[in-house]
Amino acid sequence: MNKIPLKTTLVTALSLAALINAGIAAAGSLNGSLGTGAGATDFYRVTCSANTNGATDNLKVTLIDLAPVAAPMISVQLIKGTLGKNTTDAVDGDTAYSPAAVIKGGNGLYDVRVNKTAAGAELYTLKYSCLNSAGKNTGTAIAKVQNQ
Amino acid sequence: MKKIPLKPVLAIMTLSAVLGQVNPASAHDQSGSLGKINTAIDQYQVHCFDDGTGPNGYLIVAVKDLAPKAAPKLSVQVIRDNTATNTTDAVDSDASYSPEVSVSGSGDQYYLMTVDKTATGAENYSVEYHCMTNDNQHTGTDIFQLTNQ
Repeated sequence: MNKIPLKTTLVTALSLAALINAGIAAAGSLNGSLGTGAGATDFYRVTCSANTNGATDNLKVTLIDLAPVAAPMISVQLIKGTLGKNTTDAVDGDTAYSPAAVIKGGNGLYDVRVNKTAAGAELYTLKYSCLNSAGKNTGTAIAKVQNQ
Repeated sequence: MKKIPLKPVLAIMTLSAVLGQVNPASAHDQSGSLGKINTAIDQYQVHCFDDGTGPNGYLIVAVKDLAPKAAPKLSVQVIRDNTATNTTDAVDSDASYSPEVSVSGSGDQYYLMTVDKTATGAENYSVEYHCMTNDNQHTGTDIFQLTNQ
């Protein structure tokens, strides 16, 4: 049996982990991971701004719980001041996203937090879109402020 | 049949309603409910301060999913600045709270707490929250509800 050098395996694993944590994805979408701790939470801030489509009416967020299939369910909370919504992907490892969570908070800063219901590592893809009142994209920027 | 005057009855009903909404600061146990819609979220602001016991060191929080037993799982998140954590009650309607989470803070600190659920269906809950000094003494704790869904 051919042996794979340990160093090569570790480098590959670390590269994959780095790619996952860097949130490399198309615009308005990023990949993330939550560690094994039950309280693990990833924390993002999304800034919605006006562009050629006009001012932002709302921020829409949805997520998918990626394979491997594990016991925890993944949720995302969307908060702006006293406005708040939560959405959960009920089925791990399938191709369906959670129902959308939408907050009509206009332009500005929104808190977006991703967490899970139990201990165990999880992977997810988060989609986020700042939209005008006609559903067209407005300026959208995201920053990760906590990565667990 | 003897009639009871309407005004005193209304006054008692109003007083009862007001008392029912007030959460005594000493209780540190906030009961609430989440509506049927899957996206429902309740949000609170907790103020930790020195009540003479000592300055705040950290806030501890746990949630209990109360009867009636239903499919959604209940979670509470605690947020301070750029720090957030989560805990979920795995079993509905039993006597146990979720695992306790704690978030450190300054001597006089405001935290946010959000309570939510994983699916459609109304839920009742109780959140326990205590501001603690760094030597683990209970200190000043106030709560204010920001969002009620």
